Amino acid sequence: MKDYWDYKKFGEIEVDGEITGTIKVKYGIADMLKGGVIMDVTNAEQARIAEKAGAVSVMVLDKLPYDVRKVGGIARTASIEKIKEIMSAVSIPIMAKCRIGHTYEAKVLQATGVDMLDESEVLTPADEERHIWKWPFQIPFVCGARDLGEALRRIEEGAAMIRTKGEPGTGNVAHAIKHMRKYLNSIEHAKKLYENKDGQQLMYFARSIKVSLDTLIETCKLGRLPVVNFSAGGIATPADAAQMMYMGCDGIFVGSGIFKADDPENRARAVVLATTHFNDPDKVLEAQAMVDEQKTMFGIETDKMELSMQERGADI
Amino acid sequence: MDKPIVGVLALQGDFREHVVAVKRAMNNPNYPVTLVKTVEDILPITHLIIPGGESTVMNKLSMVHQSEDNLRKMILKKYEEGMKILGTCAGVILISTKIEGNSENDPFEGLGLIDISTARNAYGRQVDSFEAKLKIKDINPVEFHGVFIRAPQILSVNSPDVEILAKHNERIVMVKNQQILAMVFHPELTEDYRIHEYFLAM
Repeated sequence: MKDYWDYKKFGEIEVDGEITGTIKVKYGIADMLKGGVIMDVTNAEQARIAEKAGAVSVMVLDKLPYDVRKVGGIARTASIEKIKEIMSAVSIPIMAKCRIGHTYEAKVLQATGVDMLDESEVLTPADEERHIWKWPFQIPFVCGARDLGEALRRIEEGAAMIRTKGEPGTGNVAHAIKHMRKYLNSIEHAKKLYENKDGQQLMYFARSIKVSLDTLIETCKLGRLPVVNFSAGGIATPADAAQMMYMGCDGIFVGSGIFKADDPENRARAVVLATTHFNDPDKVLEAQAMVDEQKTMFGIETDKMELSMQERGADI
Repeated sequence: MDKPIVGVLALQGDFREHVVAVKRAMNNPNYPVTLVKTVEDILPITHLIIPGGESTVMNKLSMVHQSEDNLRKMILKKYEEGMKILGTCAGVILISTKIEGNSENDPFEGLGLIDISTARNAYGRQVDSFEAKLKIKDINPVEFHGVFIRAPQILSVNSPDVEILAKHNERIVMVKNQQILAMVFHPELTEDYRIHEYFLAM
């Protein structure tokens, strides 16, 4: 009988001396994705293009975030048939999005065999008061966050990976940059309190961002988020990807940026190149030269949008 | 013996964990470790680590420039000159002679440095990723904690030059030859640095 409060181990299953669903294997797959680009795809053909271009994983959606905005209505997880088709089309890990708080959508997706779940604000939230309790799942989750508090809250619920929320489907990287800078500034602030041994102030700071003191202390010790952190939301060019890597992200999600552009094959390869060689401006130049600005997705001005996806998800 | 000049292939994957593991294994937090991304980076290296990650991605990035001396060709050249290689997970695929169950969409060839046949994702998908205790020949006496993530499998050893160091549930999980130490699990994700110590003494 498992101790109820040993909830972080609730995903574990032991058979023949092999334990699956452990924290180490969930966090570990996220480690393997580092330095890579995860691309949103809506069919097997796009998945094949992504794999050939060097994507480290593909994210299966029913519609690209840009189209989710345009079409409106309720956005849900992709069709099972489509997910299975893409799983057999490519050999790299497959991710799929489920609605925020929709535990059963997540359970169904886990049963399809996808490698990671994204509890995503691109889809219409199913529960406005809570996120999915992610620890009992055997496969890992990635969740979006705008600031340190949101990131650590998701990690405390069992997320094995974090990504900036940015503003999906817009082609505007400004919000991803803003979110990344907010994490960095808050970690810097907390680290100073930690180093000055100002326990009281650190506890107050933990309370103000609604996280436990333990998780915040762990973050201070590491000087970074305790899980892998990618950037997502509005990345459209190789230089966008390099910018996010330069700010300290571990890797890149590109949503609409590739398949809403008019040069998806080249752009996909170029974003991969820029992500790997972000610290070498000559290589980023080479990557940026592979794309044509005329073919970049037109984009949406974020201050004129009707729907701010980043606001989605319970603030607890 | 000269101190090893260590590099970690840093095109993609968990290369930073290997950097930490090398520093711990050398018992020196300042021990220099090069992140190898270009042909120039690899020139002085005596011990190269090819980390976990996606083998298709690393392979592609190693030959972006097909015409010139690309990284893939340089790894071959340096190996001939005696460079030692530690391959973990995806790294094993990249250096093997034969890859079975290759992606139909995106097949590629191994570097053929160690005469083994490998199969990608042979244990299944992420839900089948697991941890298990391993008994490793030469690394005694305590069991090693193996972390297997979408692990490949070493299907067969095709040459007497290759020695099997560990099996788990009848499957080969770690091998070596004169210059290579290869395993399908991730010692860099544990805090046990015996495998890195063993490699750096090769």
